[in-house]
Amino acid sequence: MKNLTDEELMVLVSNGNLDMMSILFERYHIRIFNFLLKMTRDRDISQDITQEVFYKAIKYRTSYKKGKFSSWIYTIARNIFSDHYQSQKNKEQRLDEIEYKIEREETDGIEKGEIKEQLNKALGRLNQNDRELVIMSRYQGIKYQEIAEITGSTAGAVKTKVHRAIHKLKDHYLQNV
Amino acid sequence: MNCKQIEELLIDHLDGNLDQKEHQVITAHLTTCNSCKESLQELQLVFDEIDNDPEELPDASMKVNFEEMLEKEKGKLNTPTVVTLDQSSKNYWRTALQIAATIALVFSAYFYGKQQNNDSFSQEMAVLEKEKVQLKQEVTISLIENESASMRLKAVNYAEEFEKPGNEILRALINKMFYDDHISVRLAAAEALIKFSDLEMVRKALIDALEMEQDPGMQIELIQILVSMQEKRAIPSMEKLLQNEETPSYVKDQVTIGLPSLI
Amino acid sequence: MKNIAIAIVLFITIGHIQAQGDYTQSLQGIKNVTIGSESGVKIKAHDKNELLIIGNGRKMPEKAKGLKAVYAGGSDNTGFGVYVQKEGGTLIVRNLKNMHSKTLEIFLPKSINIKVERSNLGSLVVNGFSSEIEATTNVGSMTFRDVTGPIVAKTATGEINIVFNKVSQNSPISLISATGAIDVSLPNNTSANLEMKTTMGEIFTDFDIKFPVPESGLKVVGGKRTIKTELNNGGVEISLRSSTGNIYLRKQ
Repeated sequence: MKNLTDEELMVLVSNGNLDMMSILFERYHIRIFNFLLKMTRDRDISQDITQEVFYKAIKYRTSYKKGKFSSWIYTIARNIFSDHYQSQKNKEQRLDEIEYKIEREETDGIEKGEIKEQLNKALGRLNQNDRELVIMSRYQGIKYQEIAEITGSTAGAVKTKVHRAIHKLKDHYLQNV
Repeated sequence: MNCKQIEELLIDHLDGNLDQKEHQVITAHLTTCNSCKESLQELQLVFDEIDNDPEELPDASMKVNFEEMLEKEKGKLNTPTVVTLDQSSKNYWRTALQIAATIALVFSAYFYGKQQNNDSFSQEMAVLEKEKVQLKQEVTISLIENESASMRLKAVNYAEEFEKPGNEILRALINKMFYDDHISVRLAAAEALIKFSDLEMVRKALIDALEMEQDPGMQIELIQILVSMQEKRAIPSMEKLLQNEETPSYVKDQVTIGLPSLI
Repeated sequence: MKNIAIAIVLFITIGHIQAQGDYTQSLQGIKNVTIGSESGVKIKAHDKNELLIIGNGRKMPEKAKGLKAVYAGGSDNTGFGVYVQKEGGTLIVRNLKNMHSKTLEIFLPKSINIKVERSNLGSLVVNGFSSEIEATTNVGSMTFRDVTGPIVAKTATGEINIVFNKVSQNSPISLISATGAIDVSLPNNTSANLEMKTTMGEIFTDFDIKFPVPESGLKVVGGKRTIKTELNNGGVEISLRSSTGNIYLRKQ
């Protein structure tokens, strides 16, 4: 079973063979988790959302329509992520917490590797859309075409936006170093 | 090609996405242009940093939780087909007992406590009706900050009844439309403000609200209000919603329906 | 009949025996209870002036004897994975377990005001209250039975199902779902100013509703569908809204 493609496995899952989801979980949970971790910088939230992604993938298995599995699962992850932050929007306390976390990580970072922290900081200064594009494209190595599928855009538009976002990231980064 | 055009190709250059001809043009340019060369090195530095960024591993508990959840979902899947006659009759009795117990509970709860709530609030308002408008406004404003969302709704509905509300009332309504925790109150405030939409302060606030609002339900309401007001200044916000990939399709539909009548 | 009566008594007695492993907290001087939970929540009315949390499935495993459970959301001061704290006239109840954990089962007196904050994945079930209820959920559905309002509830994608046994005339009722259906049953004699609105969905009812005459003049208001009407000569404001879901309003 392990050498089936993602898509074949997911078709089996949507036909009721839920065990196949374990294999997909093995293949994807670390990537999804890291995607969310870069977006949120919060391990706990990222783990919770990752759990929810697979829960939803099972729950809504019949809505899987034979497209690329990775695009489908990232679409779910993005939806849950944005729901999550939308519901947090009015909670200032939350924001404080996030800022606190960043600050603390920064002080820790000086010892471990200041440069890496500087890059994370620069990443944090991008707006959410730009940050997401940089993470998907550069950290996760997802192709423009696939990002376009996930975000409901076109490959050309994604490429232009990614390039712009990378230049912004570079500028923020160099300001700090 | 000038430096600006070259700069736009640097990422593709590093990724090896260029054809031979473009590649040659860039390489030639880089030998002569220091600023582009510097740009290239900076990009390379950022990409190296990203590539060296280690992947983090989630806690082991995540896999355990996943397995648990999977078992649960599998359980749900199997139950209807596996149940034997014997079991189902047992289940039937258990359910019947549960229902009986619930009924008993509901009945006892019903007879136990007589409803204590009264209409004191309505009476209060009726008395106030005879007093000065000033006082009515004060009451509305204090109620509008009540910690009960339902009370805040009541205050908003009450504010709508003023024929010529003072600025304080209007500001309170606008404030509720922008910032209330509960979307019910934000919606009611927006609707209450329609009545006063001949005032510039109110129109401006409704435009700003659409710009700020994140909730799709509220966005739809604001779009409808602004369209019926024929408020052309809201066009940029609406176009922004159309372009934003995060906007739900049913909100976009609302813009698409409304926008033509503004332009 | 006699057998059933015995069975009920037996059932309730069993309930009592199990109840020894539950958490209780007096509600002396408390008017409001605020509940926060990522997982589902089930709230039922009982006749005591105390908070009761069903312990079944929430206790520490045998192996953890001598240890303390640690949660990201705060400290467990009950031993049931729940944080309970008095703040003035409000009791804060925060479920520390994650969104996939077992439904949190709570009993409260029927006249206490309840506020449920952001239950994320989990659904919310509320049974038997004559007090004010405020609730917000994200994905989870809401089911309220045997309630009177006032109720202010909002869910992003869940359904809202409510059966009123009587409608309080105190202050407004507002139910909003972005994409889920809203299903409300009211007693036949309810007095209310009713407003129902759905942008993409449909409205179904067996109440006698006067449909508004379409406005003359071609005012573009998009797919907006609002029905405003008075039930039994008008009364408390009841507002039901769903952006894309259907609305069902039933007589009892």
